[in-house]
Amino acid sequence: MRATYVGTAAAMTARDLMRQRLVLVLALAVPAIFFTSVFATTGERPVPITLAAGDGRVMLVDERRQSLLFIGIAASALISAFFASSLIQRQLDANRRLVLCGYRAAELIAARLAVLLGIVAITALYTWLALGLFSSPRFPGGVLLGLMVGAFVYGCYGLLVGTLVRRELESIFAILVLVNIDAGWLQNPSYYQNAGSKWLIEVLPAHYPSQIAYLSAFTSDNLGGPVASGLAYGTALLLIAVALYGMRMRITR
Amino acid sequence: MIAPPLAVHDVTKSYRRRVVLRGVSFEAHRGEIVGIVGENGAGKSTLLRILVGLLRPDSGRVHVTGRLGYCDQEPQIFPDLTVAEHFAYFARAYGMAGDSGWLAMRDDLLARFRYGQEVNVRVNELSGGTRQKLHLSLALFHQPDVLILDEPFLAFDWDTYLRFWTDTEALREAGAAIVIVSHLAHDRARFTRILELRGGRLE
Repeated sequence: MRATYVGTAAAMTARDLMRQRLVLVLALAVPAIFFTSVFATTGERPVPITLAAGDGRVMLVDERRQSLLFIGIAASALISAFFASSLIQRQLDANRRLVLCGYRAAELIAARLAVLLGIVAITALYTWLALGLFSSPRFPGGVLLGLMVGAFVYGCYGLLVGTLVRRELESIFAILVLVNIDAGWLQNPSYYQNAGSKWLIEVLPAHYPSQIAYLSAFTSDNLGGPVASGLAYGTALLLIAVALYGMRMRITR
Repeated sequence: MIAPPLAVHDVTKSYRRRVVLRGVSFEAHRGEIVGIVGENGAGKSTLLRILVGLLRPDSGRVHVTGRLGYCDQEPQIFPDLTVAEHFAYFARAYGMAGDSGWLAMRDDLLARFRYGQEVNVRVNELSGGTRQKLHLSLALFHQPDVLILDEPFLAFDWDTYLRFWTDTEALREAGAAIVIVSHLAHDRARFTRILELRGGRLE
């Protein structure tokens, strides 16, 4: 792995992405739309929730605060997954030409990973700042960590989708379906409390990031377990994506 | 005896039951321009993709010695990067970015193909012909020993077409082996040899 090669590829990938003006505008708009919708449709009444990573106790929390947190995870996951998928799918042939000309596939994916981490940080920070306008969690730093882990896990899922499917429409579908079912529905702790087959909810990508954010917002519990599990989940997706990308970019000479 | 820069031995390729290439063998020597012609669907692009390593043959071998320059039929470039950024990116890929010599080579290519005024323009704002010039320039940038071109001049105007041949002949005189794949081979006299791909075989 040559650092100068990775640096050049990361700089070019970031420039290429930053010139997608409409995509950037939409990325800014998604959290704002999500938060505004939730703010308008929820009230300040107590609702019972149970956290999977907690001690099983039922807590009464403010409906609006809980919903904003829940939708914040969904927003950052969605943005991160879309960008990550686009990083892989855009100009796959041109990238393969770079491999023919001397780049290693591992250097190109390392460059994309560097850009992805930047996207994760910016997306999570922006969502967290927007969230701060509507709500004040008990431990704001932990909520930011939850958003970052969520963006990381779904960013890695986006990379995987980008390597598995060739066309944009299919990848949009694959991302929307999972984010909608997982981060946008099943990880809601109000739903979790009475859900059957809880194991299914616990194996989905947004589970650990959601637990980090909820624990930080409503308890003083330790975050170590969910953070480690979330990072391991994302890393596993990343390793599969890297292996598949390497196979797609392989040159037979 | 010096090995040819490009040697193809008994290459076969099928897509499901359809046999596209049947035992294709040929060599391209230093200082040669070899034309490969054939009807649409004859398997020319499949052969090219096997030559450069983008596709694995079912059997047979391809040996390339030295630097490879490759220009596909479709410009494989980045629509949202500028011409200058492409040269910087490919200078890194070719391992030329360590010193500033690549800038002079870039400027020389821009001048020869007459698109220097568009160096800071993004590819998606260039005309089709200028995109093709950039595409070809990136294949010539590192002065390859083996140059493989697929329909390289379809989008060129007449002046650029003539310039293309001037540069290709200069590269040939410098000792490169050049393979040009086309469904039509104009100016047959410019080629050292022309091989026709028919029924999956080279004749």
